[in-house]
Amino acid sequence: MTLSLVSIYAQKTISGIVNDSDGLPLPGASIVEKGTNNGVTTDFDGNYSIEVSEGSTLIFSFVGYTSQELAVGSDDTVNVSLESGTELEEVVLTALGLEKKKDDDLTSTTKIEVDGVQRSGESGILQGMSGKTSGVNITRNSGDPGSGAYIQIRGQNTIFGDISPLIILDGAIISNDNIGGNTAGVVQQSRLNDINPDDIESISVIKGAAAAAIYGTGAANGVLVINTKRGSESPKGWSVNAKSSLSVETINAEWKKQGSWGQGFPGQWVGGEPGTGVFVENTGFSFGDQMSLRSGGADVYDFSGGWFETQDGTRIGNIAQKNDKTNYNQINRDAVFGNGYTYDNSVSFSYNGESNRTYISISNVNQDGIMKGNSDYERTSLKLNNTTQATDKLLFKLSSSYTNISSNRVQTGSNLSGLYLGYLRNSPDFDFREYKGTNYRIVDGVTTVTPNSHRSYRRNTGSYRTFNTATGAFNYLAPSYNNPLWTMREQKNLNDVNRFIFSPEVNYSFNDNLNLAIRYSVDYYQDNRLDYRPPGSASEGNNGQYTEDRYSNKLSQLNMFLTGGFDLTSNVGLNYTVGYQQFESDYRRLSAFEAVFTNPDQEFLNPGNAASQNSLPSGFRELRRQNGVYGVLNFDIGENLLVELTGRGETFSTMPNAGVIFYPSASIGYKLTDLVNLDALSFLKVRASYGEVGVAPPAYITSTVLGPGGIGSSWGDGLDGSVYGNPFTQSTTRGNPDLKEERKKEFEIGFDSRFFDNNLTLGFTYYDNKTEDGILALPITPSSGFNTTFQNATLITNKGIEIDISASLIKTEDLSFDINGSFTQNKNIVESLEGAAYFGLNGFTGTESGIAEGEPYGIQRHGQFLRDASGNLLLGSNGFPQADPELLIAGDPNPDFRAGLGTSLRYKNFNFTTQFETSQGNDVWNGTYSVMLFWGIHESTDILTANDTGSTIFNAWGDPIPAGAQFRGYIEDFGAGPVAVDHEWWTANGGGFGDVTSQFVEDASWVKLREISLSYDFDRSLIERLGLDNLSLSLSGRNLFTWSNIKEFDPENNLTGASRGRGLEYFSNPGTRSVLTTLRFGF
Amino acid sequence: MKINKYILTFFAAIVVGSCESYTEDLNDDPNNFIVAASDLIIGQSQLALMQHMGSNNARYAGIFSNTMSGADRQYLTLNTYSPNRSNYDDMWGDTYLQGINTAQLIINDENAGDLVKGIAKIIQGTLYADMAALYGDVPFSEAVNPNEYPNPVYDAQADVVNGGIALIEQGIAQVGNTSISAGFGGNRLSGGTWAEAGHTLAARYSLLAGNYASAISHANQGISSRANDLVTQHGTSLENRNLFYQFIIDERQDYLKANEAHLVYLLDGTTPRKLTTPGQQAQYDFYFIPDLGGEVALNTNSSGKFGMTAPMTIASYHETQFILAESKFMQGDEAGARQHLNNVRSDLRVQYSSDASGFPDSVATGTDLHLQILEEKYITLMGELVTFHDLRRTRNAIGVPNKQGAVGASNFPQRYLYPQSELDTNPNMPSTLPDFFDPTTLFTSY
Repeated sequence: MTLSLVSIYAQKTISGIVNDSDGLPLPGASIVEKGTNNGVTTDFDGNYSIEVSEGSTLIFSFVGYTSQELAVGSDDTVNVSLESGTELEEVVLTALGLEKKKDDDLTSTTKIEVDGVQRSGESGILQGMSGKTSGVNITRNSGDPGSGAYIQIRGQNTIFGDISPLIILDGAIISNDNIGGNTAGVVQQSRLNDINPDDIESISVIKGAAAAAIYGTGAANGVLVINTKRGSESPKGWSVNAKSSLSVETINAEWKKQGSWGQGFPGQWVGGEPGTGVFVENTGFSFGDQMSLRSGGADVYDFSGGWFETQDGTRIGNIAQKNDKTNYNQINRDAVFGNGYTYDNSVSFSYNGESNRTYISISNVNQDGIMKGNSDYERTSLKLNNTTQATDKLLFKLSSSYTNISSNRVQTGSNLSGLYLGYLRNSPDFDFREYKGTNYRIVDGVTTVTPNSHRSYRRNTGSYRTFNTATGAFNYLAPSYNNPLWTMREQKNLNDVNRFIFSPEVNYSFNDNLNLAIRYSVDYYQDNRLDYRPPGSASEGNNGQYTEDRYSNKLSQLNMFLTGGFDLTSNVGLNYTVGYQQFESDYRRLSAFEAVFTNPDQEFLNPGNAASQNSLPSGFRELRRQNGVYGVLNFDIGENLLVELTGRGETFSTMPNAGVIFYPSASIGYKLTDLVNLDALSFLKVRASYGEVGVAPPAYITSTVLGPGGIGSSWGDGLDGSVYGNPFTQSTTRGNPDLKEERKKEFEIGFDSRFFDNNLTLGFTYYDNKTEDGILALPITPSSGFNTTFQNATLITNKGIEIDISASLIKTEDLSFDINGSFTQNKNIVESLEGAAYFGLNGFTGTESGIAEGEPYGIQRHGQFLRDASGNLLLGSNGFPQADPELLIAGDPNPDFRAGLGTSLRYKNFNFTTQFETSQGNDVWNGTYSVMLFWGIHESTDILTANDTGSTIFNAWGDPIPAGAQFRGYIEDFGAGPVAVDHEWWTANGGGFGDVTSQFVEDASWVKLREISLSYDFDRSLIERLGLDNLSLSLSGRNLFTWSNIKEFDPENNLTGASRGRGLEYFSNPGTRSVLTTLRFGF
Repeated sequence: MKINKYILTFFAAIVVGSCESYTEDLNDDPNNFIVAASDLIIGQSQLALMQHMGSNNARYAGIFSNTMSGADRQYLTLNTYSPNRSNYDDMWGDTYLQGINTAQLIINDENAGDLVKGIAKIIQGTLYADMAALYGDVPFSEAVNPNEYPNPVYDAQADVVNGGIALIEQGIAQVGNTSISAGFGGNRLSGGTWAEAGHTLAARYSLLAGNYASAISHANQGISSRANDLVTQHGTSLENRNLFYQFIIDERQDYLKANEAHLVYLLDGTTPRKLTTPGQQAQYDFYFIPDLGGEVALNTNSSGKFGMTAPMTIASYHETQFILAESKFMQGDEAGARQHLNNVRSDLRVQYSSDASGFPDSVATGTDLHLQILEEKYITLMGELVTFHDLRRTRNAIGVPNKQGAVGASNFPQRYLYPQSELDTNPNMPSTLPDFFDPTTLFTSY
């Protein structure tokens, strides 16, 4: 064989039109000179033109149509009509990233339509995939710029292993780390979102264990196989494609605050009457007086103790007389939230040469969040892919990318510095716009001045500092909660990420039936995070706090495999893959923590601003390695029977005593199309598979360790070992040298079918898996000396069905209408927990998401009301329910099912698409609402009721409400006669800081109009006049409507981010909806 | 066959490349240690002792004893005595895991010296006895021995208290005359000698067990002056400050106050004090400061009881004198009892009163004397766990009202609740779980 480069044959140009059998042109059909890389594609009208050697053969092909080969004769014009294929040429990717015909695939692997991901306008690919295929649950963490998302295939099965599926990008194992995600902090990113969605060529979701088995340990969550563009689709030479989009984001759900009652205490707390309140400065409560009854006009200040001077010189003193009756809720809201804007620009260059293809892209996403402060995300990515056919046997491939992210984030969640916490609790009569100024404080006639004073509703005259005149040490008195504007503008949560992915590959073809591929890949990122809290910030930041964390992770892989095939007999063909893989993950963190700044007056974003006893460096390193041999055998038996056998043997560094681990799997499929004599049936294949994959134990849990001591309560006070002589302490978790892998065993059956000339496609899969020997830090009796011990302790099962359907309902030249849908139902049960009652995954003490025997993964446990054996409330002597001292199961965050429905309507050059998505039956604990009750700030506490019972009733503290008297609250009968539900109930077990959290578990089912989009492809004539190949403009809406019982926050939000703890809502930053316009063009 | 040759070559490469050494010996934790000498870990058991006596245990005890008040968020619910087992997970866990277990590692260590072992025993004995005082029956004989007893049984409260005393006594025998500062106290603990601190602690728990003779015997060898009090040490770093200060100022503003607390009323004259004290305003000012909205806060000023660097008391000369006073009274020695009470009064006079008549001596007899001793101890040891122990032990003889005004021996919590963490894991827990308001066996009568 000769390279076309050195072709000695004479050249000629062939042109023509490629049509379908109805005579309609097929744009994008491929014409390749057989045996070469020389190829072109048809234009919008089906025209092509190609220069070929005389005597060569042309292959005409198009997805969904039967390919044709024609020898080049004397004619210069060759028009071809392609027949609609009986076998759709849809391909999916195998776990190795190799293409495989969907019709030959024996598992439930599905392909995600990349167009839809790109059209979604989501800057993060994870969010863009949401709802696009069955079996995959993707939930975005929040609407913060750059927010990550939770992804889960077929239900949870591990507690300490990765949650995310394995991600294979162009053959490389890449990271989808989501470090962090707790009840406090900032919204974290998902590393998969570092990829530019426009670079992606195809995505396949490998859900079944059998298909993932070649990766053995590490593939238990399924595999997401992504291939990026390689510049192959375009005609010879360079082509350029560009995209520019602008998205406008707004908050999609807001909390309702009351605007009638001011800051202060209920009248009864200070000897007053029910139904009244008194203004009290700086309290967290909004149980004060009715604002409408105030005199109006300006507040009267008392400057004798000092004041807060705003930046324009206005003085705010302690309030001697509260006169202002303004409700500042909306004014304050508008100071915090506005429109967010995202600019997404990308350009790609594709080159298709004689023997090499190149793809280069540059993209920039610049997102400015809905919060009017330091909330943004900018991602710039570069990509270079190259494929070079060096000789007819030797092929080099390179896939590489660089991503840079810089982002500003805003504190969220259960966090006295969190945005929503300070914003939602703020009393309606407090205007928080003046948040920073100078504090003047007068003590014994001496005035001291504190610059950069932080003013919030919990400290109306701002933070101030005092000096210990003996030692010179200062101490700030700060507000209990941050002013949200302080959180957004003065605190800094900077983040920058640099990431390289480099994966070269060499392919050598010994002959047509034997190929060797050697791949190396390295994915390295460094994620630098900085958290700066200026002095005067709430909580521990009161004297200034600085944290810097440098995370890095390097994933490197060597993967070599031989693929080949031959006929065993005339009737049995065998294709095989045998390979060897090494994988290493090297994760490091280096951190600096400083508190109590030496110089509190200047922003200093570096370590070195604290005395040594207030400065704490720390580090962490984790190195893991995996080493395995694998083989895949594919048998074609006769026309219709397919069998696949896979095996992998390996060793893993975190299981030093487990020896060689072997994972077998087998699949079988049968094409029934010919046997079922049904005209409507175009294709039918039934399939069944069994597979085993594993999860490795975390590193370093084989021994019981000792580390630096120190002790702290869950309330935050504590004794830091590093300032107390560095004593050592034994870990409370007992190591276990004999751990083995968690093993997931899965059986699945299903079918893939097409009907009515391939116009209707239906795929169905039922799966049943169990993960045995799940590793758990098993809770054990604390009085034994350890509170957890690592053991292979859990058995978790998942059973479910997955349905994917698509139909082409109308298909004419001018009009087409397609729909596609997916349905997923997963039933997860934690079958065994070795006798432990509960293991918390994330959340708060007494309100957490965790696991319990016989319950689904993530089940919540809450404090509940005390009940008798028949379930009736046991009331206290005051007629109110009482708390049960024990925690009980309540609240399942798992949906009963999830489904997606997409439609696509094309009329001439217009395309109109919609995507609906739903999650049904998932519960959420609405902690925000419960706490807003506590503070008297939720709208539902704006209620004035007259005691019409005719007799005195009592509230939860025993305060009397005489007959006829009004009180702020309502009358309720829990079973012992009417009682008054008011501040005393809300501030105890009827509110968010009480012991009974189960009363705030709600059904968070939702339906979302995930996406609606109208696009227009400009007319050929115009495009050609502009010298372009294509030009389109689209207008899309993202998450425009949500139908849910949950009205005041995005039901997809999760306090603990992409972590295992699910279904917790507690002052988490809001979600967004967006409207975007996108212009695409190419030449 | 040509193909087979390639395959064989390929597999040869694999075998060479895949030797298991690639994954071997990588699982030694680079982030932690697996050995540490007893001298290095004794400090942790001391931190646990400080935490046990001064952190959440002490705050709960202050609210339940009505010397303090829960005023915000979860502490408001606590102020209504709502029971919640999971609130006790951390307190129980810290004491067993970091205090008792760490001490056990030292006690088990064949290479540890007498001194460090003796200190470990004093700390462990104290923590055991105090856990029993707080919770009633608790694990003791099978505790912190995970190889033999993964699920320790619960021993009777009296056995644990007496077991704790015995451990303290063994410890005293091993520490000689070493001072606390020379005995690993470092910048954590200070005071006189370990032996005298140990004797005061042994006296405290003997009194709780109702053993007055033992209490007197130990107290006589106990802390002999205020200068020798066993106290915690604090600094200005974020996490070496006074634990009350950290909670009230740094972490949880408004949670813990003293609004409508009985102790406030005793010291501001609203409720008459059993031993009239004209100079008590200075004592009030040391404990409390006014807050916005008419609230009463704990004094976290630099000169206050809960200031940033103010020490917290674990065992004191005053307590020693009160133990002697009460024990002698119970044995019928009123003169001796009065003398010990007045030893404290004369000390308080120095501490609080420029006017010699501000803290007059007691001249009472009989029940008056008895109640004066108990109330004076309630006032003087404010912030210490022993106040809560005494209220329950004496069946609230001094008539402290509960948070809603009711007075009675069982009107306030009688014990800390067994934590959810034990309930979740330990099949050997008592099958009937006691109620929050059920007295513990040692404290059912006085």
